[in-house]
Amino acid sequence: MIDPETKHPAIRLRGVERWFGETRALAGVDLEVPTGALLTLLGPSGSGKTTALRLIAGFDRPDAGTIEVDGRQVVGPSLFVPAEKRRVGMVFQDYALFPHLTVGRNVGYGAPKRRRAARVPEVLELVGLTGKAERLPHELSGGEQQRVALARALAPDPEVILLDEPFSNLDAALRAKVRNEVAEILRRSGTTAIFVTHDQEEALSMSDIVAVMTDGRVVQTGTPSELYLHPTDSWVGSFLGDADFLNGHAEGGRVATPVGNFDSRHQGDVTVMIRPEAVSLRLSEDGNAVVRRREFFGHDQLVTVALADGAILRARLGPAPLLQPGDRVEISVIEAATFPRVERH
Amino acid sequence: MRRITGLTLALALVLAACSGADQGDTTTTTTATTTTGSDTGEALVLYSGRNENFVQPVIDSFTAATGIEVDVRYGGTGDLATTLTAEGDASPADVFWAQDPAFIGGIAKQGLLTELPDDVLSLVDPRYADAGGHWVGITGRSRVMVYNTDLVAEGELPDSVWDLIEPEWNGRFGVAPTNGSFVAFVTGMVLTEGEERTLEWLQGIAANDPVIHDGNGPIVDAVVAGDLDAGLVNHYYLLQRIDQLGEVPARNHFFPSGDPGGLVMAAGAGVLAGSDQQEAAVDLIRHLLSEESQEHFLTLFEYPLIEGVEGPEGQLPLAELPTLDISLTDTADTLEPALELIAEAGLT
Amino acid sequence: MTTASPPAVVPQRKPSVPKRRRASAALWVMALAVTIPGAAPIAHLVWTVLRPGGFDAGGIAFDRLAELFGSTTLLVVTVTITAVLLGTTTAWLTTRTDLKGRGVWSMLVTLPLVIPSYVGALAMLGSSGNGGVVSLALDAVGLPKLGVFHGFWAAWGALSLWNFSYVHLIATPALRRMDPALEEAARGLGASPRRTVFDVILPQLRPALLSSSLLVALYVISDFGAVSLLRYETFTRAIYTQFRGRLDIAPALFLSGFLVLAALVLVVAEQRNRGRAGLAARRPTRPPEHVALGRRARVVAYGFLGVLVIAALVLPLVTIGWWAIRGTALGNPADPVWAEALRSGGGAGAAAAARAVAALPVAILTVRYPSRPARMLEAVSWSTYSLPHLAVGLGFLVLSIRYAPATYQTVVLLVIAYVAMFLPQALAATQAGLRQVGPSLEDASRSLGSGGFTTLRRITVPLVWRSLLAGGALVFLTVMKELPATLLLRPTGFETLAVRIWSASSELFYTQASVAALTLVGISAVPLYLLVTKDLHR
Repeated sequence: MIDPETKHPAIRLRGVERWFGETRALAGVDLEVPTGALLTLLGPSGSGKTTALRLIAGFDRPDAGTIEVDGRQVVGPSLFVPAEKRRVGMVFQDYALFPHLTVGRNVGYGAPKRRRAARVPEVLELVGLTGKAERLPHELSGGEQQRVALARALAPDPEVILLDEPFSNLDAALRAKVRNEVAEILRRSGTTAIFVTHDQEEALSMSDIVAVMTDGRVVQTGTPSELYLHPTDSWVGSFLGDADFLNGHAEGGRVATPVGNFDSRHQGDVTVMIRPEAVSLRLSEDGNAVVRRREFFGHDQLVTVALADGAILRARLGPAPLLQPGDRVEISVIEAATFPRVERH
Repeated sequence: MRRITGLTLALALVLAACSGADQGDTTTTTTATTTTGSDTGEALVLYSGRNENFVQPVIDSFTAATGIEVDVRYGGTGDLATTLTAEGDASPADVFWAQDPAFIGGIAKQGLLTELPDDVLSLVDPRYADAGGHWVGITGRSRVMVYNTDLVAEGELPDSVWDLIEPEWNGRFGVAPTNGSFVAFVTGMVLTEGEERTLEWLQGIAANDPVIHDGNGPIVDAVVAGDLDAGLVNHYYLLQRIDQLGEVPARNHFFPSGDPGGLVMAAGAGVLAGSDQQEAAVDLIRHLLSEESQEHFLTLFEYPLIEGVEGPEGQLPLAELPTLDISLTDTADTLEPALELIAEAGLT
Repeated sequence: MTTASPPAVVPQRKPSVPKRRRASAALWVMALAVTIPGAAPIAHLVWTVLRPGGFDAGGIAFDRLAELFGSTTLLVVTVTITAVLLGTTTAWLTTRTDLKGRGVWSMLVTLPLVIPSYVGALAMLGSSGNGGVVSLALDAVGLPKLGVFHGFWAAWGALSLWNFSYVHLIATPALRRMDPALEEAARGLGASPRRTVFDVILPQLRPALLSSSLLVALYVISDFGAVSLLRYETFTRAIYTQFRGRLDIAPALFLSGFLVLAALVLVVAEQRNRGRAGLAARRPTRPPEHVALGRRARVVAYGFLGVLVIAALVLPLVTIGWWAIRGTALGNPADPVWAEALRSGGGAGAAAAARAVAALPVAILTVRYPSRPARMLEAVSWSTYSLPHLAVGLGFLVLSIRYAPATYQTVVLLVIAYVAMFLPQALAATQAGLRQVGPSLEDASRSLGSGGFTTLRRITVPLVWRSLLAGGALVFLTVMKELPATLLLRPTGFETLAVRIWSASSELFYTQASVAALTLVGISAVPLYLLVTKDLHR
């Protein structure tokens, strides 16, 4: 739950840069995470998201820029607060559970000494692992280890919890379940959290806010639906989900395309992005498109059609319509997003 | 930046060359408690070129009689002499006890030994002590040729070491050219024959395919076992083997008087000039020359050097041993040449 | 927010191992403090040779140097080749064939490590010649006796027999980790078994073979006891001859410096070669196939292993055992060597403990904060390890007399020397342990509020404890056997088993030497057993 009352964000990065030799890992990252929010850093591998996370945690120093945690500067010119003094918790990709310590001692590791005895059962209950305190990490299942890691990070009551690809070690069947549990636990505890992932579905389904990164920059920040429906450019659009692009010219807030006219936030030459879910097809002798391909998935199907001018669109339909390559269809599109056209190199 | 760190490290290394050893102290201080009291000034430190069986019983009796502890560093005479040279004034040693006159003479020549009192020097025949009084002989050891009686006929026995460079001895005898006693024998040879002749002999030996060992013991064992016909060694090794093993097919052959092969060497001891326990050190030497100690050396078949103790049973008495008309003191002067000649002849 | 151009995906290296992390000054200080004492004598020796006029002052003729160089090279090359052939064969037979009792064989061919080469040489002397154990046995069945083992062939045999186990130890895990899929892929692509060996197996073994070759070669260069006893002239023996034969330490120092330079060249060459050889470690999905040997091959294999075990393990033990029993029966002095054993064990234990502790800062520095200076530090410590102990001992001797007289002939100096000489043994084990402890564990501890030192104490050390112990055990084993540096640097009266064996054998008191040797072998077997069971049979 985002707390609008707080004056400062839980985390604020300004102009953060990081170089590894000649390679620029972060090229001036600006990011604000409101207190209580669940923010996801989403980007392809090599986009710099893990680097950003390590900088926030204090495992690494940026070459430029400032970082604030809960309004307190932790990195700045000639200032570097070490990891252990930042009150930032971390859940590692490999969980990094101390193999020689029991679950209880893992969880209690960072908790304040005085409150340890009370705190450990408290967080173990929060993550649903009551009674497992005496186990050793390797005696637990992957999902349970995940929750121990979360409990351990929560135990010291940090300002922020960072989660680095926390679900990548779980198999697909378990992932969705654990994901929901973790999001639920974090919301219940009211802790601000930053996830790092390259999985769009994961990012969109569990976050309050998603920040998309590529090439060491944050290119867009927003709620999942805002991002999905109104990406800032074609790269973000196609990174977040299937999308096809048409060219168009916008005037007076409208753009005309062969498949209909849409609202446009931009003027002039624009690229029109159409998601397959927004497309519906109807068999019609005088339709303006021809079916090229059909992939059937069971719960839905993806049908590729070619327009008269050669442009390609895909439509995600229910399983019922039986369309064959060569069938002529009528296209209707219920919504589309636009952004200024950039010539491809 | 990289270059600078590299330079710093290189600099650190150079610095380390000057101060490395004590820098390490801090890393291992926990083990310091086990250090023996070698430099506490309590115990006497004896550098002994003689082996433990020979030395330890008399040291124990010394400690029992005087209450003075003695730490003995056993090693080769040459090892210890070089160590003493390297240590110089800083040596922890109080007494040096060598096998041979040459090395202890060399140490005396460097001014590392103090003069012994007359009452000590007068205990032995002056022939077996340093002319300058820096060391005194404790026991006598004669150079001999040990031979296997099955492999060498009585009539074959050489009259001189010079015979050994003849073809009939090719490959049949052993020498230990890096051993102190061989070196000492060569120092005597240089005195009697001169450097040129000595080199001639050494080269002749080297060319006659000798079996090279590091010490006398292995030569004697090879002769006793019949692996080797003969060898140039000290007299007592064979006697010790006979004592251990009973009758063996080997004998000592003494070269006649005047032949360099018949050198009788004194195994001498001296007190280090840098010792801060001069009196106790001299007492130790006095003890080595006591009748009790000399009797012990006799059990290991060396010649006692004091009056009133007879030589080894069944051996020629000391007075009847072949003689060589040289001063053992002078062997210190021929040590360097001897070493160089041995090296030049390629005997290693 | 800036707008990025459409997905011209730029491939970027993901910093999976965090690079360029900064090590704390305290860590550097500790790492330097444990490395420098070892480097100091090396620097001194090299300086002895390279300083202006050093060559003339050495007083060693050029011909002599060339001769020593030739004889040493001959021995190094032949022994290395032999040991690698033997060790690779035993490793292959015990990991990749269907021979029976592979685990036992593997253990048996590893055990010769408890026999120091000078004890092996002593046993060779004691078994050959007219009075030798083997000679007597041959004589009893009417065969001719053995001549006394000495010279090149004896030195070659001794050093090969008591070194090939290192190759076996290194090649075994390499063979075991090899992914059989690679071999099958080669066979599937039409390669003959022979081609598979040369194209697939050997290249994968290359790093292991290279590093074990280096280990053996450096050992041969530095061997002192065996070549002395068996009378083969090498550089190291010449150093000792100079040391004991002159009233001047300079020639011995000069030769040592020269030898150190030669060994350094070898180390650098191997490091460069290894750098290029880097093969990606693959985790095999299943254990390697076992080659079914034919009947004849099986007989040959058992015969080979049997002869090797008899020569390298049974014969020396029987020989020294026989000498001990015979000597005692004859009433020869064979005093118990408990005091020596205690000193050996104590010295080795202290060195092992100090070493294991000292290895930690260097290991952390090199594993967690890889950088060029850290790599240099590692190289420096490796170079100390690889150098002949006699030379290093002489360096320590001279330096301590001159600059640290208070430490001269103390256990402190001896332990420092041991530590300097065996740093990399513990280092390698500790580094391997640290690499298995993911850095994320330490990061986790940091993010949970623990500082660097607390993290070290509560997380890192408990997790690498086993590796530290393994490294310590290895150091213990080596220090127990160490002879030349102990001979030079021991406190007066600090007679260890190795020193006892050496002094008794140079006087040829076989009984005394053999009792001490048996004790040494017995004590060494314990850490070796622990190491072997840990590394090979898991």
